[in-house]
Amino acid sequence: MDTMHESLVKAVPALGHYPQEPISTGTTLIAMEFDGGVVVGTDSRTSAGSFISSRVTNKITPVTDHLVVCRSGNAADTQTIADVVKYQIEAYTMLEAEKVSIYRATQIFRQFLYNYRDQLSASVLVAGWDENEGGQLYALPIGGFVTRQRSTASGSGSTFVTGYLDKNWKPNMTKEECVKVVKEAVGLATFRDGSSGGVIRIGVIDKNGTDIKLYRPDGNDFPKFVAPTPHPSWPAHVEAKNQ
Amino acid sequence: MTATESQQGVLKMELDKGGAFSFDNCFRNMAMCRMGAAPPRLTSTGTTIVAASYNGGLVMGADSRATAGNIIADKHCEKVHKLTESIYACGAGTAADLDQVTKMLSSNLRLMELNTGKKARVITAMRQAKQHLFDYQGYIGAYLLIGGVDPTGPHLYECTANGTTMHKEFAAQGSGSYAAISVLERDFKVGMDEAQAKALVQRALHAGMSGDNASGNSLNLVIIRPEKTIFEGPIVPDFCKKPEPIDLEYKFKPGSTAVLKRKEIKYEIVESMDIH
Repeated sequence: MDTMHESLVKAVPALGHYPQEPISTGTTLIAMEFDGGVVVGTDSRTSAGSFISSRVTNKITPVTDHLVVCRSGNAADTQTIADVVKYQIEAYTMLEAEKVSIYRATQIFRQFLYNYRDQLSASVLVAGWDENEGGQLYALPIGGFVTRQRSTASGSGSTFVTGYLDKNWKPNMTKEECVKVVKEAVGLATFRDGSSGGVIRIGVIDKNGTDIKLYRPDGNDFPKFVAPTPHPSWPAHVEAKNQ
Repeated sequence: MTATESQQGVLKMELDKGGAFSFDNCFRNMAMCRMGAAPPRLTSTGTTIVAASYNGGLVMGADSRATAGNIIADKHCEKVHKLTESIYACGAGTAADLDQVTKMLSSNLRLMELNTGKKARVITAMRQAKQHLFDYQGYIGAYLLIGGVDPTGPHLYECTANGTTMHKEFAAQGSGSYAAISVLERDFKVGMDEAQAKALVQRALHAGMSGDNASGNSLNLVIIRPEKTIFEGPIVPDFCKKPEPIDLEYKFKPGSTAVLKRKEIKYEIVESMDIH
């Protein structure tokens, strides 16, 4: 918010000026590498303050056939970054007549996030597959720091599931095992995080390309959790009448 | 960092950018406001705009009230802007910015149509708007619903002043959007026909216009079909009509009011004085 001018941030009723809150993807992003690819999972909520401005957002943005970027933070910023980096990668691919590696794509994202670190509020996961290195997953938090990860969670919902991921990750997981853990983790995060919710989108990137599936909360394959039943909050005499 | 320091930091940064906007007078204006000077009023289209897609086409609509604070600045404001023959944009936000942005979009799209000899696409309009608005980091207060039919089918996009865009089946924007979106969320169905979609958009607009003080007066609709576009309006809903004056006599006959008590007070002048 620091980068916005005061006149844009403050409501001035006398001017009829009610600024809309910056739209942001208060988000859950989960991703995992497996032998031969990457699994990514996201929720689908986009909020502007307390208003859900979209409940079916696709936060898994395809950049090439074998590369996706999962976006969190300011929606306008991350959309623009994805657009510009996609354009740059397409240009490099045509000029060099060769595919851009996932690592290089990540470095292009990093360059952008670092150079504009004061003006952008964007944090992304870059996930992809290439011929030389196989499946790769890179985490780029705000500021333009890059780390390759085997399993990661990002966004506001991540705090609720890091423990779950630590517990359930093991070496040499299969694609199916990863999908199961990632989907369960997104489910757990949306269960507890108010800024995450809606449907679950699971993307698998491997040598065959990108495959994104959608899971609705009313479907059978959506993770179900039973919250501990609360103790009665009614006064004893009212509770007695209710029974 | 204290509040003033960060403000100055922001101000410095904006000046360094050397963009089109100058914030030189912001601190002077804030000081003047604190001293009690009335700030100037921006005409803002505190608005309800609604759009919904149906089987093969699109219905978009807007109210017609422009407000400046609590004053209705314009009762017959046109918020449905034509971009091309089959692409329209409904606007909420700052009226002047919306006029300029939609004017720019329509001329750019027309030039593109003439250069390519092909009909412009809705996604082109959306991307032009989004890139322009992102460049200006929200300082251009234009919130748009861009919709239309092109050779790839009917499309509807929402575009905010910050440059966020979203593809939607139905959408509402402006201060009346909360009431309008409730109606849309409840009644929208995939594969509606034109009459159903038109009725739905009209109902959503009514909700916005009756629930929001900054929306009202009348509504304009545009129905975009693959073959042709129909514009309807202004339509004045019953609840927006000026109430008829009731011409009744309110005269009472002498003696209608009963006298319950009578009291006489006697007084005498003790002293008097001339006043010049």
